[in-house]
Amino acid sequence: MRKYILILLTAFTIGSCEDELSLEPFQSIGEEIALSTSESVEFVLRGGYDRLADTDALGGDMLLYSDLLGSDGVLSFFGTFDFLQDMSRKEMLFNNSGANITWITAYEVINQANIVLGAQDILDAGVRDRVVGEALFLRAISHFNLALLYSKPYSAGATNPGIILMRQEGAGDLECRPRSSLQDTFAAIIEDLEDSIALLPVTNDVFANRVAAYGILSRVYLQMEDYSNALDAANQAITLGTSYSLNTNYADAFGVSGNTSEDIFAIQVAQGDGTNGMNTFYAPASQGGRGDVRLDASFIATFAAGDDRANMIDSNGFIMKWFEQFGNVNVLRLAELHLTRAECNMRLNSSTGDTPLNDYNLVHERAGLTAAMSVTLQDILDERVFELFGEGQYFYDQTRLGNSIGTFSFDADQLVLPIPTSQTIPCPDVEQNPGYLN
Amino acid sequence: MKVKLLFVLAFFCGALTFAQKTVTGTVTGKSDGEPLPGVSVTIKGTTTGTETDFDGKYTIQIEEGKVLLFSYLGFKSLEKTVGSNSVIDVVLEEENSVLDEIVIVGYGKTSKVDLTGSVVKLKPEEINNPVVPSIEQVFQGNAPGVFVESQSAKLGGAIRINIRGVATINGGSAPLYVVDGIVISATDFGAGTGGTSTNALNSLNPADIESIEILKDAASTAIYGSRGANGVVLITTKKGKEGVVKVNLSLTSGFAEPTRLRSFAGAEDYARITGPLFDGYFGAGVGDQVLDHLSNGTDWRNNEVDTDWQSLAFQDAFFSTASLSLSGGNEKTKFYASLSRNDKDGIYIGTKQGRSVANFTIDSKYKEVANFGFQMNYSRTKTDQVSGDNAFSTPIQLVAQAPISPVFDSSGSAIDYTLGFGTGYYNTIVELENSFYFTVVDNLLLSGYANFNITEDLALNSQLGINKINFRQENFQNSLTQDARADNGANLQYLQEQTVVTPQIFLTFNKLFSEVHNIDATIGFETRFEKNLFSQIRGIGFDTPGLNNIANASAIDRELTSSSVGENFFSSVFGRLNYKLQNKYLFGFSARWDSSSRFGENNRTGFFPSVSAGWKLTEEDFMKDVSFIDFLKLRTSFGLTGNSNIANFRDRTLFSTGVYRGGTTYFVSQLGDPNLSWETTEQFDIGLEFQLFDRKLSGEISYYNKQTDDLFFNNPISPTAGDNSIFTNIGAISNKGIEVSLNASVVEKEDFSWNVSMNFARNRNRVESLPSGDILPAGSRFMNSVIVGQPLGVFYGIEFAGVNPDTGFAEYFAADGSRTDASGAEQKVIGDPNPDWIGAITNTFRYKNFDLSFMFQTVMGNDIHLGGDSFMVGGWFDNILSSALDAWTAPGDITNTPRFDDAHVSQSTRFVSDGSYVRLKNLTFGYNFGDGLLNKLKLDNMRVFFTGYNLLTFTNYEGWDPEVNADYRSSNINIGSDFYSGPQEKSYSLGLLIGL
Repeated sequence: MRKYILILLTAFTIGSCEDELSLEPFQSIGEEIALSTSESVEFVLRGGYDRLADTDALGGDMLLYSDLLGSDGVLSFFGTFDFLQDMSRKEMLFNNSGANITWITAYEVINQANIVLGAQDILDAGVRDRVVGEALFLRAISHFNLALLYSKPYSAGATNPGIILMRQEGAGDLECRPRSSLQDTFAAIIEDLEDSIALLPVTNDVFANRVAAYGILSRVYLQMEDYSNALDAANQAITLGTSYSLNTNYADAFGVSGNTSEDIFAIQVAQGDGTNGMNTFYAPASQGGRGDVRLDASFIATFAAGDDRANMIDSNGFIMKWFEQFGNVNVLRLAELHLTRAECNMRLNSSTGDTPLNDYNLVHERAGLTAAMSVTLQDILDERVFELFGEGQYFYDQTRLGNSIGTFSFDADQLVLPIPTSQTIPCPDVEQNPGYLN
Repeated sequence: MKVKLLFVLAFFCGALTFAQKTVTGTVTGKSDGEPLPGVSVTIKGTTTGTETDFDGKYTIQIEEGKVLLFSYLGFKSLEKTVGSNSVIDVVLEEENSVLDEIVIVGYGKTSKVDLTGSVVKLKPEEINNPVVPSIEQVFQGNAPGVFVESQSAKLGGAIRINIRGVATINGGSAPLYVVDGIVISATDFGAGTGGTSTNALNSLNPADIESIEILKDAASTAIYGSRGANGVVLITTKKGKEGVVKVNLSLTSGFAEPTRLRSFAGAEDYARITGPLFDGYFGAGVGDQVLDHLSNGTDWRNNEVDTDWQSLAFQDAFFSTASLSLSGGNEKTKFYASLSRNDKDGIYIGTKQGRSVANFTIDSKYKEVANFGFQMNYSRTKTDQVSGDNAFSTPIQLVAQAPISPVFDSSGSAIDYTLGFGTGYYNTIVELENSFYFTVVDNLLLSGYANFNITEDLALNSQLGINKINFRQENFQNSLTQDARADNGANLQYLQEQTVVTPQIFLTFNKLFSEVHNIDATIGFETRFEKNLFSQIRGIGFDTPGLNNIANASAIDRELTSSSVGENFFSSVFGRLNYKLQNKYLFGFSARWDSSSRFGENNRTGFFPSVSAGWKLTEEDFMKDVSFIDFLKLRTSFGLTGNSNIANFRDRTLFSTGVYRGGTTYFVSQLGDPNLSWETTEQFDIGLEFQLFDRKLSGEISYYNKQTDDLFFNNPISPTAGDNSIFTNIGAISNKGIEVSLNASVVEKEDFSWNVSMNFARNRNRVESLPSGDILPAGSRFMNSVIVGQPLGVFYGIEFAGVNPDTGFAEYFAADGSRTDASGAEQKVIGDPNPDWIGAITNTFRYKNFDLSFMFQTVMGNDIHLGGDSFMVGGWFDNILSSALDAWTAPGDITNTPRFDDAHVSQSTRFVSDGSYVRLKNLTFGYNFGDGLLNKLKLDNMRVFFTGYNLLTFTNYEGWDPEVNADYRSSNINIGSDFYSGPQEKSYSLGLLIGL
């Protein structure tokens, strides 16, 4: 009988195992560990870059969507993903799945930044300014990219709805917030960028630095048609960025792991570290892509004879900038800043930093073309198209200038992504963009 | 030693000195009173015995006070104690009543007549064909209320089994599987690898199964607590029986082919339509470029090549199974051992599966005090495939290839049409030539038990189960494949290991007090510890042909290399009390307390009680005169069960680690709810069981109502929180239904019998509440949605109104009934993938030694979304369904197919089809050889048979096969969704069974 009692006792012991009931995960960590040291907070910051580099964000889709929205007369989408076909045809529905995932990912970046901003006290004094500056930069660039895709262009009216601003120190809460106006959205982005400029160093490996913050700021002002501030920001970036220079060959600016001399900000992709989402859609099968996006023959024909940049287009119209599966995704190159400065100086009839002609020729000659003797505003704007094609900038340049996209007016409802279902379902009161069912 | 020998001798001598007497008698059957020849008559506890002769008479030497045991196949065994009388005549009762059956229940067994819960018992050997290829096929059509769908004929494809509907949205909906008292692992290791699914039941040899009990109501499942809500399947394997060693051999072989094919355009139609289309899209001349590319230089203008790509997706599929078992034993120790081997080609090219199973069971008895035993089941399954379900190179997607395209180039290599001009899809043939992809699963189930009879009424039972599973998947692709071209070849391997340890101990008490009060009680403890190891590694850069191991890679792809470890723990106390009064009134109570590491600190322990009652009306005096009713029982139950089938650590907010620019990153991978708990299902069940007309008609009718609250739910939250959902308990869903089963013995003659059994079930599933908003729609390509007031997974989309005869564009209905384009159309519920009812009818005929059995199985009233068809109706370089060739071409055309360049092929009612079907699921024709030949060959039995599966299908479904769901996106919500899922298989086989 004693034997049975012993077995029963054993069973009771098995029945009450508090330790086993509070197991800990093996490959993930809780916030108490993630925010425990200055170094760990920096890992969270780098996690923000990691999310920003996601193919759903600046690692690909944000540039792709922009190119598809601005595709008319430039490029065509040959792929089978219906949500991308819909973008290229400007026939998006409220539940467009691309609009959904990119929205979510952008706010993940913002959340990472906010978590870092909430953990400033944990940071060592020696790194605090830089880390906080980078977090502000990440938050600003994400808000900005959201505003470009999910709101009408600033040029169509600053009182149009912007996006939901998520600026707080610490992780996000479950509260449903309304959209801010475009004006307030842009003001917040500018404020974050200016704060980051005050904190960031001039050089910072491939991560955000003061030059990059000025560079993005010039884009923000350009969208607002605030040419004087855009000029100032672009000039500050060029002037501070003495270590940057254009590559001798245009082709050398693309498909490289690690930044080239003209990369002011880029998404880092190396073999086994990151994915180049542009390669997936723009490169043909022989280069590891789906071969979905190719330039129209009519657009290719507009390149001047001898323009090296046309050599980045293969015989089937594929853009060779994205042929390297393990190369970076360029976000902001020095050439763009020179063209921005040229455009603003031209408009303002000034020569801050340099003359419009010199800035223009710097870019123009690098493309293997003869230096121009004189330059017009239209020349500079055209140069932007040839310089930046297939990099997700064309669409934003056209809409800020009030140019139509094919038959669609620059402020057409069809050129704005829907506020996605992931936002409208939990927060049904959020304002939807015109033309979409809620 | 000498002492022992002396003792034994003394014992034998002593035994011989007891008074022996001669007992004679006649054994007859109860129903017809005829004498029974060949009845085994043994002295209980010995091997001494005899058999009755042709007149049912026997003679035996036995001492007074000993017990005679009469046993005969098909009859209940009977014991008689020898007294002073030397003539003992015996009447044996037939065992043909289903109600006399013993039914296995959780942690015990009971007789079917005393059961107060709803349990289906299946005995594979009694169902049509003892050599089923897989255990799920035993369920399909044979168990009312159990929905079984093999979602496609892809080997190893996931199989959906739902008992009484789906009662969860984001939790697992598969039932709990228990083999001989041990809960086995049901993890699908293939999930997330893009490869073959794994199926826990595949680790068992169907020929080893003695019985399957499916527990459906709360009275039966509450004793499994937080894991019982999806129903419980108890599988009992064969055990050795006392007597000479029996050998059973079964062999089958056959072949399979697709059930149905679809019709696609040929080269002429394809070229005629596709060229102008591309000219229209991209400018004059582009059409010719596309066709030149796709025809690979052949003369498409004159249809030089006309490839039937669909036929290339299939292969000649042969299969064979062999199973050998040995069993036997003596009074103290019994054993059962078996070996089996299955080899099966899939109907899709490049697919095959081989499975070996070894099973060994030994049961032993120590005096009358203890029973103990040990069991081992080991299986190894290897599955070859081409590529994942949702890949261009999955075989059935070959239908997208252009008929003008030759398959091979002049050197005999498959052509990859994604290269060069690039308008073309990657295909299976290229992948098959340049890759290998296989999955090996080793599954070891060990269990041991020791039961002690403490007193006559009280027993202590203990059991330990260990289930260890190793999963290995390897996919090598050389530099000519699409996936690994840029990597110069790649080898991706997944390794997973799972160990589940389940100790349990419980006391059982069973006693009849004062002849009227019967108490049957159980109380026990159980724990379960599960550990999972996972790793994946991808090597890239393979320069040496033939050297394809990771070791030969020039680099490791960090993005696809990772590992993880996971654990979870359950600790439980359970009990049951059954009380039977006067053998008429039955009462049952059961409860389980479950604690689990899977749940939030604030909600770690749950309580799951049930109550039930039964009334055996035929035991009442007032029913004694109703002669046509043999048995009638009313039963009802109510109780709580739970579902804890979720991933580990879902209650925590977690950061995962990653890498960016070569440095560690932390990012929020999930938001957690510290109050996370189980889903709770309240289930009410009422049923009537009957047996009428001298047991010629029997059946059961049940009604149930299941209300599930605190659903596991990826609750949508504002993405500004840093994620778009949080896993929590919120929302409710209900399942209500009826189940009817009938079994009729229409003719029962010596030479001829005809038996009909049928069952049908209706389940209504309804989402009762959701946390925010009433509608959770699908992404843009699909339509399965969650909508309050509707069943799970209804299609939410727009209604196709037809084609505008003037413009040729598709039109849809707006909310006001007017016709509009897709963007202005009203979003509404346009289809329901849940069937109205399911059922089956089986006829079994027996004439002399021949038998014929066939089952018609049906699923009625469900809709299927032809999710891939929008790619098959023209508009791109995909091949076109013949049914779409009547597209609009000129103003005035009246057709239901929009012009091919209608840019927006929206998902709508245009791609929803009725999925109802009736199918001849199984037909078996067999012959059992007679005694003459058997005696000559010294065999116990020998049988040859033909079996056909899915021989006939009656349906209006427009796709390949109405038994369908796309594997890669299958979930509780994503049902009835056909996305290049392909046909099921139809098979023909011949088999031989030999027993000696």
